[in-house]
This record gives sequence, structure tokens and C-alpha cells, in this order.
Amino acid sequence: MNWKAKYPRTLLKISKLAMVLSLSTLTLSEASAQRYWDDDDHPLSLSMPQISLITIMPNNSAITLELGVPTIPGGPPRDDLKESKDSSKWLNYTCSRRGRRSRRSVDVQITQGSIPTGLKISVTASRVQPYGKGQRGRPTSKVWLSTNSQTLIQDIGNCNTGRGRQRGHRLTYHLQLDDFNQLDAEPTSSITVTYTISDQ
Amino acid sequence: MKKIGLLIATLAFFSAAFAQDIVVQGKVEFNFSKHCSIRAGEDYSTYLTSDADAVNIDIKKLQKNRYWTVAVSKRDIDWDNQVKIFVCRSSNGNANGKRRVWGGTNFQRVHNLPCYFFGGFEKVSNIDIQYQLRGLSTSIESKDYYTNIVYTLYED
Repeated sequence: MNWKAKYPRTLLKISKLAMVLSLSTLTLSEASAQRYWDDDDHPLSLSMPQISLITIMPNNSAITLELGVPTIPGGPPRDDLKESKDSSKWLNYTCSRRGRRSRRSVDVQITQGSIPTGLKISVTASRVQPYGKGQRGRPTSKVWLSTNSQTLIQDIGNCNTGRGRQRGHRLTYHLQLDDFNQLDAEPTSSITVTYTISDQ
Repeated sequence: MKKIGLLIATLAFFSAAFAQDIVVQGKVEFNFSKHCSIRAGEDYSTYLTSDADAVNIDIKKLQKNRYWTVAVSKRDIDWDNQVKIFVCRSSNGNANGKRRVWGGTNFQRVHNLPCYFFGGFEKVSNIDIQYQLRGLSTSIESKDYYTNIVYTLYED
């Protein structure tokens, strides 16, 4: 007869004790292990506004374009002189809007006055200078100024061009003879050119 | 078996009662249009800084003579990582007039993985936290961005 059969009650007590000890050890170790750290959090948010700003630099003072005197008697006035061109203005803009794929454009139009009959004025925007950040715009081809709004720069994303001279797009105006026979001999004439940035 | 159950319940209760705890109160909302104005062609040049007490942290339920550390991380919901979040501890909190917190007083960047922020000794309440956003640009899409700032307390 072995001892297990001889002392069944003792065996039961030993089993119970072993169970209590193992469970206690398990509970204690688990409790201490899982409670060595704790965390909590809070929300943080940022609201980025929509922006569309455009300006002419260094300022929006008037520029003067002139035709040269004819080289031959009775001939047309010259429009290939440096006085008939101006490249002193720069177009700067900042743009930020909703939607990664949304684009804006800059349109140009005459909003005051008119070009004398027989003459025409073009404006060209250069490629953007390597300043600023983001998806800056792409110039279209030469635009002949009129009272109708025409796109000068397109595909403007979320960006900025930098501010001042040598930043953004250089604007070149050119006064040209359109029709010598219809030329109206006004000594001076002034127009206002307006640039607008808007959804494409 | 009843005794065993009672023993386990008692142990669990005491372990929970003495477990350390970190409580973070507050939420931070940066509204850019209120903070900064720019001119055409310009980009945002300044940092956005929150109030010095934007968020409060309490460290409690610590056992006696215990040192602890706090790590900070972020869990993005919708965030542009061009915008960098910086955090600093702007007060020592309350610990019965004793100074029991150290580190974290310079702005440090918050990453997606927990990084050590500051440490301390025993219970401290009302530790002020300040935030700063850097890398803001108009080249970032205009919309609302969200993240969660997570503080993890480790008992040493």
C-alpha cells in the first residue's frame, strides 16, 4: 500500500495548498506587471484657413508705354523701342485652399479706360522664380489686354511665391501698333489693369 | 474554493488601489486665422504657441518613494507631418510645496513613438504643458487636422 492510498486527506490538503499558492503567485505577478505603466491622451487640432492673396510688386504705381517717332516721313510710329515695353512689375501671390487637387488661376483684364484705337497692349508672365514653396502657377501664352477677363497664370495649388522684386512672375507689357490707319492721335491715355486670383 | 476566490479578489483590489495613474486634462485647438496674418506672396513665418497651461497633468496613486518618468507621443487621426508638434513642461506642478519634477522644460518634438519627456518623484498634480507648432506653410492644404497627444507614465 503506497502513501497516497494511506493518506488521502493529506494529499487533498497538499493539492489545495499548491493551488492557492500558484494562483496567488500568478495574481501578484500579473498585477505588478500590468501596473508599471499607465497612459492618457488629449486631442490637438489645427485649423488651416483658405487664403488667396495677390499683389503687384514693387508697387502698383503707373507705368508708361510710348511709341517711337516714325523713321520715315508718313511712316508708322515705331513699337520696337524699349519705351514701348515695361518689365518692372512682378506678380506675387499666396494661395491655400481645400482639396489637394483644386487649382486657382490669375486672370487679367482692363477695368478702367480703354486702349486707343489702332494700338494694342500685350502682357506676358514669366515662369515663376525659384522662391517660395508649393505648387506655384504656370503662365499661359501672351495675353492681349481687353475688358474681357483672360487667364494669365494657371494651375496654382497651395503655395506662395515670395514677396517683392525677383519673386513670383515678372510681368512684361508691350505696346504695339495694331492698325496704323485707325490710329487715333490722342497724346496720352490711361488704363487700369486688374489681376484676379480665383478658382480655376 | 471560496477562500481562494476571496484571496484573488483581495489581491486584485489592492493591486488596483496602489497602481500609478496619469490624468491628462484639456484639449488644444490652434486656429490659425486668429493667430497670424500674412501678405500676398508670403508664407507663415511664425510658430504657433499655445497657452502655457494648455494642458494639465496629474500623477497620482503612486506607492511611497517611487520615481517615475513620462513619455510623450502622438497618435495621428488626420495630420500633415510637415507640421511639427513641440511640447514643453511649463510648471513644476503641486507636490505639497516640494519640487518633485525635472526635465522637459525645453521644447522637444513629439513623434509617433514615445520619447522621454520628464521625470519625477511620488505624486504631483497640475503640471502645466505648453505646445508649439512649427513648419506651418501655405503649401499645406487648407483644412482641419487632428491628432491625439499621448502621455505614458512609467514607474521606475
